[in-house]
Amino acid sequence: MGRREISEPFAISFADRPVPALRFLLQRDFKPSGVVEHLPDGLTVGMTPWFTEVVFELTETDTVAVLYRISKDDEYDLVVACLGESVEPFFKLLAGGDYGDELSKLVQRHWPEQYEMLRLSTAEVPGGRVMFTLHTPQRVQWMVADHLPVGDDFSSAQVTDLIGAALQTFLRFSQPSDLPGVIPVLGGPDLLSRRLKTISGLINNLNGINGAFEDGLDTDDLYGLAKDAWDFVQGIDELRRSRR
Amino acid sequence: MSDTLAFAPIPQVLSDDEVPFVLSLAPDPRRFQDLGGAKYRRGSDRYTIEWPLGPIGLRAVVLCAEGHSFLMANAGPLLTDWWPILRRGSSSPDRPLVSACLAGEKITMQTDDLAIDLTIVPSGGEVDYTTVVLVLGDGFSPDEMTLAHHVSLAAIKVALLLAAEYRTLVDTVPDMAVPAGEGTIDLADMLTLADEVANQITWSPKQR
Repeated sequence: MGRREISEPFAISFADRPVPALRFLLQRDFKPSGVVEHLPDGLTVGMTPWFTEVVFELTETDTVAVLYRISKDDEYDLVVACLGESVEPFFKLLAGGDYGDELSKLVQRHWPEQYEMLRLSTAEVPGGRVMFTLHTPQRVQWMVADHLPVGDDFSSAQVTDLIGAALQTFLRFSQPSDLPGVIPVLGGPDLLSRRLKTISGLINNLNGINGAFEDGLDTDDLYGLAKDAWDFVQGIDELRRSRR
Repeated sequence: MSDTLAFAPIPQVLSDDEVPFVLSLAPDPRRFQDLGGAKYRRGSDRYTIEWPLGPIGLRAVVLCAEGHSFLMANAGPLLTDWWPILRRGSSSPDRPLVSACLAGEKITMQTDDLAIDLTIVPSGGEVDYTTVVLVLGDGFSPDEMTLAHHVSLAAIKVALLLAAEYRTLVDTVPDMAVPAGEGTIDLADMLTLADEVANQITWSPKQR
């Protein structure tokens, strides 16, 4: 129990290779990278030596979701949604010695999905949904990912489920003041604000998702975009359940 | 020029495994012979032609191996990891040089009064850089050296254009620093520089 159970998610490192940073899950005016192929079912994939980029149309607008498939080991690949560096400021509090144990309890109680992803990752339990970090030269990015046996395909239901989980994680970690009980743990609104600012070097929670905007997305747009995408994915899930 | 361009008088300052990257980002302090506006340095089986351009240099190598001499420009290791993927994919108008290479075609570079056919050799085996190659002849005769002098910028330009094709391929340039003398330069800046320099060279690729 406590922070030690979730504080050391696994990492995949390409830090010593000329590997480009992954792109944030949601993109507008997107240009695929690598050797691009347009598949008959409308999918666009971009192959690189290190990962395969897969582009999904989320809505009828110009917004797309970008997922990656990365080899993990001989047994598993990872299907990955990139959240940029947005998770890092709150994760530092969560894993730190000052508030980590108390915050971990709150996350376990109120954000059980994220707690479980961090727990499975820290324990290096293969097969489940995990949060982990991917290191490219000069950058550490956070990922939400599903394990996929090597050679298996992933279904559209898995895709929307993963996108939903990633969006939920993004919305929660980029707005940690929404975590019930977090303000007393961090010492009240003023202290919370100062501590997040100190740790992330950023002005407020919303600006704390700065790393997500490295692809040119606008700060004010992205939070709303993620919420819209979240509603869209939830709508698909409800539709799917209603058809069962 | 054939009266003055000869192998032996060039200062022997190169090591015998040296195939320098096409773009020199810092002054090379080693001795050189200035011939026709280019700096010449040699080893025992090779020499370099460096065209100074302000604080940077553009470099080609002439190498003699197994009785044949080759003009080469080293395009660096950026495409090394990419070649296996590129071979599996289809050709792309975004990558005309790479596509031509994979189709087994030579690259014709031309000026108003000259045209030569260059071969792009992907990295492989112990050679971890992509090269642009022209077979010159069978040694370092003055005529071959004169030819190399006049067409070296064509090979250099192809090597620089390969850097531009790498940028198109990768789209998001890795956040890497590239050695430049005693300091470093961002890879993205180096690619921009390569593109700008390539545009200043009058040789141009013939459209496929």
